[in-house]
Amino acid sequence: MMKELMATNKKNFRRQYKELYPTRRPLVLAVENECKVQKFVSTSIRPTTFIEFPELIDNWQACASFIADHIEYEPLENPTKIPTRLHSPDLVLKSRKGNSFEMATLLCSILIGLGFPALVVSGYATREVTTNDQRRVKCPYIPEKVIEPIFKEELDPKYRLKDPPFLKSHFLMQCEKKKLDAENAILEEKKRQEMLKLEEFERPPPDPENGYRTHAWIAMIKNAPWCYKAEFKIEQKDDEEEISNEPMAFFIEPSTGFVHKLTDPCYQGIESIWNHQNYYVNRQYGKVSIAEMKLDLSDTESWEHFLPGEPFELRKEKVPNEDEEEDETPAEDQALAIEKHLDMPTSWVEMLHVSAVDFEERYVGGEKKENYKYCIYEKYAPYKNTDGLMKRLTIYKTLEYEEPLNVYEWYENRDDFMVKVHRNLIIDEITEEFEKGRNDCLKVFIYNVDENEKIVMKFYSKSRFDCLKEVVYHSNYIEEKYDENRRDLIYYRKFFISDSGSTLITRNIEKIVEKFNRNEKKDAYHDVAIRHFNRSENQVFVQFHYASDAITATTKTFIKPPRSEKEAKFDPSTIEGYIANPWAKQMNDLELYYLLQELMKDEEKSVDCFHARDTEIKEILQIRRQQIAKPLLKFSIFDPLRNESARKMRLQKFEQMKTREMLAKSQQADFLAPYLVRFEDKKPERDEIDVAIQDCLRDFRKNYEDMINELQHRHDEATAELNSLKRFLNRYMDQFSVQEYEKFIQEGENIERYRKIIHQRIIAVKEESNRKYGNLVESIPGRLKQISENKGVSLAYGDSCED
Amino acid sequence: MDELDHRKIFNKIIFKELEPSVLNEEVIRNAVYEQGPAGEAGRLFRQMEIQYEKVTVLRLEFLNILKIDHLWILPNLSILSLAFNKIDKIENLDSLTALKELNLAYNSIEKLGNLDKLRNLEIFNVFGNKIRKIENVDCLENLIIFSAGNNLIDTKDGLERLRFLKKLRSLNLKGNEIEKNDKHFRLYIAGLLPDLTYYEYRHINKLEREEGKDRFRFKLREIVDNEKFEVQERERIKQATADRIHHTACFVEDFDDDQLFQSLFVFTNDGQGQCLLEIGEEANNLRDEFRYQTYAVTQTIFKIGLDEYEKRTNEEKVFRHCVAVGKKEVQVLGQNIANEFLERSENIFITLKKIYDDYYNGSLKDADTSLIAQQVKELSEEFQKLYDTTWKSLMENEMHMHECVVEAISTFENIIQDIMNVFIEKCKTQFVLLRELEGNFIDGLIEAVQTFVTTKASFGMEDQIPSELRESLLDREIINGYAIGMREMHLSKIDGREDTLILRGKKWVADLCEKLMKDEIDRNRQKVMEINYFLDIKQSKFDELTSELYFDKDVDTVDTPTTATIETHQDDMLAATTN
Repeated sequence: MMKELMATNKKNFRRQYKELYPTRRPLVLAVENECKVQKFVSTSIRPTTFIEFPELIDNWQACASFIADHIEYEPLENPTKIPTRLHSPDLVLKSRKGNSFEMATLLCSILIGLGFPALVVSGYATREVTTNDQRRVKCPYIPEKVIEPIFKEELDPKYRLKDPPFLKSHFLMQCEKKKLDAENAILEEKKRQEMLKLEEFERPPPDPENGYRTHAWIAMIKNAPWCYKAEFKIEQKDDEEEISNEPMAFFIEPSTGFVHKLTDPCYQGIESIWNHQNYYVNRQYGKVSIAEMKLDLSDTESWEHFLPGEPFELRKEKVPNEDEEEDETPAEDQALAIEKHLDMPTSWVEMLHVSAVDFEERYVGGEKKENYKYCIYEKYAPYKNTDGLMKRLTIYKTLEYEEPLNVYEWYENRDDFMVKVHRNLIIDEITEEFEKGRNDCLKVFIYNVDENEKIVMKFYSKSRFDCLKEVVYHSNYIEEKYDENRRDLIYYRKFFISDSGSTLITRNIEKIVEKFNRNEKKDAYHDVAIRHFNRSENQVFVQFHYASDAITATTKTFIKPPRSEKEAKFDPSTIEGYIANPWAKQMNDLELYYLLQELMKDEEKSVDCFHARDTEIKEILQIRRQQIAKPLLKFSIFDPLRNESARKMRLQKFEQMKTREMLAKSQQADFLAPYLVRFEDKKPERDEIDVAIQDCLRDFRKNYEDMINELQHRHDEATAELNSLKRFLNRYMDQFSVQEYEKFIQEGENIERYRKIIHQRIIAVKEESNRKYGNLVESIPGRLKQISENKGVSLAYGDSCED
Repeated sequence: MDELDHRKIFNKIIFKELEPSVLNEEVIRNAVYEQGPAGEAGRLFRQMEIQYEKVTVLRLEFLNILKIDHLWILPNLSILSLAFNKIDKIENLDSLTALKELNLAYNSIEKLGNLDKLRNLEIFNVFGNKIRKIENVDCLENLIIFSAGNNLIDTKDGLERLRFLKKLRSLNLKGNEIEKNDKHFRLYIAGLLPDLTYYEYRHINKLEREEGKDRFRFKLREIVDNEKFEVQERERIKQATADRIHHTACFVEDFDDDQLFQSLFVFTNDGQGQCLLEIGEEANNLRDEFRYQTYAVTQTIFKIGLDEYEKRTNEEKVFRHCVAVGKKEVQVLGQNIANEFLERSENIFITLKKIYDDYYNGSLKDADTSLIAQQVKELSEEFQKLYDTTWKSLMENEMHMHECVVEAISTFENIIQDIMNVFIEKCKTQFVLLRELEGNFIDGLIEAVQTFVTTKASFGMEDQIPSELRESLLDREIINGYAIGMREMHLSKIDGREDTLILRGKKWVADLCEKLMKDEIDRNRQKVMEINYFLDIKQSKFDELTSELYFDKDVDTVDTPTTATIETHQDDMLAATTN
């Protein structure tokens, strides 16, 4: 009935459309589904929420990219005609491929299911879009370097010290500037020319069928009245109420999952637009471009509705006036009139479903390759690659993908916590980035293919005991940087190693440079800022911190006493240096001597540090080599698909339970078993078995006899009670009121019923005992045979047990 | 000769160990040297003049010292041991305020005392003395370890005073009379001192503590009751001193309660009309009303004071921060310039040295000497140029900064002055109010007294009138006279308070700004001196190098004039700055 109504409506609508727009292409209204049945496009939308995947909930970007990854895009058979088939989203999900209309319908179903104001748009697009050719699209995944903004404190202007006066000629400056500008302009022009040339070069060949290629995509309407999502509401300011009511929109391309603006030239026209509630034909077609189009769907001037009337959410709210309240009947009529229109039938499509395995696999076959301008982007499902590779972006020099320049790789689930690798093939530099969690706290590891180049390691300094932030490792030097949390306040240390060319083990330290932060507890003239240990010249250079407001710092150069003499005479005259504050009190000889002693001790410590660092780095390098050679993957214990051991355990348990159940079902109760326990270890003699059988039968009988006796006892009790009640009633019959009498009668009936029940149970128990006893006696010979077979006892058991 | 012989004889006759000695500078000096560094460091140490203020640890043991004396020459001493002497009194330690550890074990001290100034004392040892009672130690707030074993303490009195030492952790009283006769003494201590962790160097466990508390609960309760008042009093004084310091900084000291009012009714001499208040109920009512009103006004002043203090400190903070940032910037700039100069001058020196070496190696011929002269001349020109530019840019920066800072200080001065004026104005209005109140009070009082006198007189009860007022029956003016006296006294007190507030406020501003300015000028001079000193050293070094070359070659084209001009130039600049 409903369908017929729809069908007539459809026919009618189509006829009208043809009448009105004879030049326009026929509408995509009803298309054949997989069963060759024509279905109205709106009813193919099946709003669905995938609640089992939390990453999709409330995230339309994730949904769009998931569909784009999950479904393989197929161009239309005839790109300039309207589509001949529209498979249900359900089938599309199962078969994992679909054309633009099918993918748009599927994505729209999911987005509407999540509450987003999504609509399917049918219209025209460029060749690149319709064939999903992105070789001229700039890749959105190229990582950009983040420049941290420099924070500058804003000082109170009244006390801010003025900048020094400007003492140059403004005129000359301007002349200079003019000159520079002119040069820049020429350069700019040149650049622009080059850009134009490049654009020309990059532009794809012209398309003869431009503007005629049918395509479908998604429109998200901002400020839609039926959408409750906060991000799609344009905030209404109190003073500008009228302006902001105009709905806004943006597009989502289902084949890529990218967002496009209304002004994007890749979409060339809109024929119609629909969701699960209604179908709207564009009446502005040909008059205005997409960007200028009015998007208020309730405006029938711009949009022809397929179903008259508005869905509930779109209706404008009626404010009940005081006048209307007086006569209620017309209001009711009005309400009826509003409700009197066709509603879209519910969708015929099955509930959509994606399994966890499919969701994780994500791409068809677990991998997907996308070609962008100058780069290729490969995506893989987790655990698809044994090294944990998830994404790889290769940037090439030419449009034909020759000469790779840069390779970015993203990893997941790696045992060595590596998440990102950047290979710069121009200078052969490799940068590896790690998550927190490594034992050596490595954060970034930069090295070169050429092993003689320097190696840079950055660390998560907060997790390291020595607060090490960065190490630069080179055959000629080791440079260390620390963060500010160290107790000895060192923040920089560099070891210069003599390049003797000999084996690396006996490397000679030529010089050590150390820098320290200011220790506020100490006097600036006693707080060492920089020290140089010139080991080759047997010299120590010390620079102290700048005192407040000083521009020069005290320096001292010591000549180390020869090591052989333990208590060498200290000669202060050998100390050279500059004294920043000659008016203040100077260090006396004893202090200088102590300072030198301390420096010499610290030098030894630093040398130890060098050796420790050297070994540590070599160790890290060794570990990295192993980890790169044999990548291991890890998985969460909560991963339902991966945690193999847990899964096995669960399966095993399940299996065990099943077999136990089966066993219990298949076996009959073995009454004899408890009596055979005593023979577990030895062979039972025949007469012993006889005793056992007799015991068994006796116990069995006794059990039932007890039960019958108990029941009989209760029966007797009940009878006695009934009799006494009867006697009581007979004797005092006259003295009761009617109600009391009836109560006693009721009681008597209850007792009677109870007695009868017990009686019946006695009969039943007797029957059961006889039957079971018979069964038992029957089964005993068979069981005995089993025993004899098991235990090897020859038994010629007669019929002795049958009585 | 004669004296020496005497000594020898003395040494022979008397055991040196038994001879009592006196603590004097020589003893201390010997001890310092003896306990100073050893080896090479010791040699250097002895070479230097002895610096008593740097001595922090000193042991003066087994010296048979009779009297503590002469230790004030060691003001920074933190660890002092006077064990194994013959001291019988603790004295002359007041100047050793930095003392943290004091060891007086094995002496003959009989009484504890004279420890009030040793606020920082943490370890105190009087083991093996003749002390009879624990006393005078509750002033040692930071005491952690206290050892008074092997003494003659025979009373528990005074032990409860140790409860005030909140940081005391270890106590030793072994070998005293009280401890010997009392097997529960340890439990008593455990219960008495809840913060103590070790008694006789053994840990006090929970059980002991509980038992001690239980066994001596009556005694403890008594002690707690006795000290309750003192604890509160100490607390109050502490709070009051802290408050007073803060309030004084706000210029509203003694305004937090009705001190001003109280001071108004302290009569110092006759004629101030004290007798006016002796008419009974009426006067008391008036007085109470007046007290209530004054209290409201003084509270307002008090609040204004606190608020304004906040404002001033904030303003000062902002100012200091801004100036510090600006100075830091210029400082870094100057450091960079100086470093660049160092680097470049070093290059010049190296080249010069090389020329010098070449020249003295004799590998050069006569023809080259002129070349060398040329080179040297070029170098010296380069150096002078470098010197000039560096000096100029450094001085320029400094001069500019100085100007800016001075300007900032004057801005700050204006602002803080304004703030202070606003504060003073606000207070002044309140003081006017106070005076008005006072006037009302006096008027009311006169009227009341007159009515009182008249009524009493008319009812014939003259004997109830206070003696001084009786005269007013003859002369009405006498009451007025008394009232004027009282009024004058009041006004002078109120005015005096107001004046102190205003004067101190203004003085504070003036002092602050003067200090800022002085500091800035000092800083500026210091900086200018530093710049010139720094460059002069380099200049002289350069001169030294060049002169060696010129000395040989008789080429007297040294750029003395340049230097001279620069110096005069410098003098000009200096003069400009100081002006």
